[in-house]
Amino acid sequence: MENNQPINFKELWNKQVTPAPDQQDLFNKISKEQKSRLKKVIVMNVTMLFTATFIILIWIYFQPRFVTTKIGIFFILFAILMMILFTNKTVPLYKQLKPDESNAQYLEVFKRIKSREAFIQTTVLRLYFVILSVGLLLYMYEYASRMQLHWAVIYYVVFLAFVAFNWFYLRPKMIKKNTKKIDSIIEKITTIKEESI
Amino acid sequence: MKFEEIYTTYWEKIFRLCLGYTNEYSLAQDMAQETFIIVWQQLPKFRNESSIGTWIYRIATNTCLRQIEKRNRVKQTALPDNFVMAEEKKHDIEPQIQLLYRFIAELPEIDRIIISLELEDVKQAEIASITGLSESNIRVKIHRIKDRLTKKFMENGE
Repeated sequence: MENNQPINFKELWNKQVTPAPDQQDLFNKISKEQKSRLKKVIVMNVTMLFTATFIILIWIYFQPRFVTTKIGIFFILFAILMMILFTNKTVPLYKQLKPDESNAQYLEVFKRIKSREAFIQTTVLRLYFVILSVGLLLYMYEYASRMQLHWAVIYYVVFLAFVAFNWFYLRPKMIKKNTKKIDSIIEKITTIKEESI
Repeated sequence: MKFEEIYTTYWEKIFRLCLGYTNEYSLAQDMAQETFIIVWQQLPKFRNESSIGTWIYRIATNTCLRQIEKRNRVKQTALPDNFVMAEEKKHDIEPQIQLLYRFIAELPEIDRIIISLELEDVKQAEIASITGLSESNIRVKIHRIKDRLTKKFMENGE
């Protein structure tokens, strides 16, 4: 191409070889997606059902006499259910993201969702660990009170070490991992928006 | 318009748009298919408020933008000029076409979308409606992008 001649971008653009449309592959992908969506709903419901059954069975089988045990069971159940519900709460959030909006609107909503998601993940994770630990502590009290003192002390030391590990190591690690990914996405969206002005 | 008809009419256009965005042949193919999955799902909701073309391009460009989440960073590494990927060799032999798609994929995200739509002969008013920017902004941007691309071609000795 001569330097002083304008380049015909349209001609070059249209000369690009394109693969043949593959409708079979497309419909396979559509059915695969529908199946995976259904699978997610089933897994979530089965998990909730199992958790509830498990707690009810403990209640019936062990016949707890202390009120602390009962409250503990409620807390544990509540923490698990909250985690399941809130991690799935991000799904309705994505329903706000309409694929046929203009790019500017789409990016705006996308950014809002990501910020909300980061908030939910961090707050829910913090609450989950607190409620679960308190629940376990209360639940264990009845059984520990029937033990000999030295066994009860070991029991609680191990338990507190487990809680500390969760709180000081696992929780920050999980939060950091989640927010790092989301933050970089938010940052990228902001850059795209700024560049488009 | 039936889905099958839409699919065959728009497939090539959407594929080129995705290729301009990523400059990766197989990824562009996946993104184009992803676009049509959404089109298939959303078609019953289409209300003729905009033309079907604008509607499909909006879905396609938003699918491109959504790649931020999936890949976090779209690969923009410039390859050495004499480097031709084996896969691309099969599909594309003209180095100038390769260069054009590569240069477009190196632009900022929204610019990639704007120039790809312009090269697909989409009207500037429609591009404005797809991107959500003003028509005058689109006009200025197209001019600048074309200048930038020409400069890149010249620097490359074409």
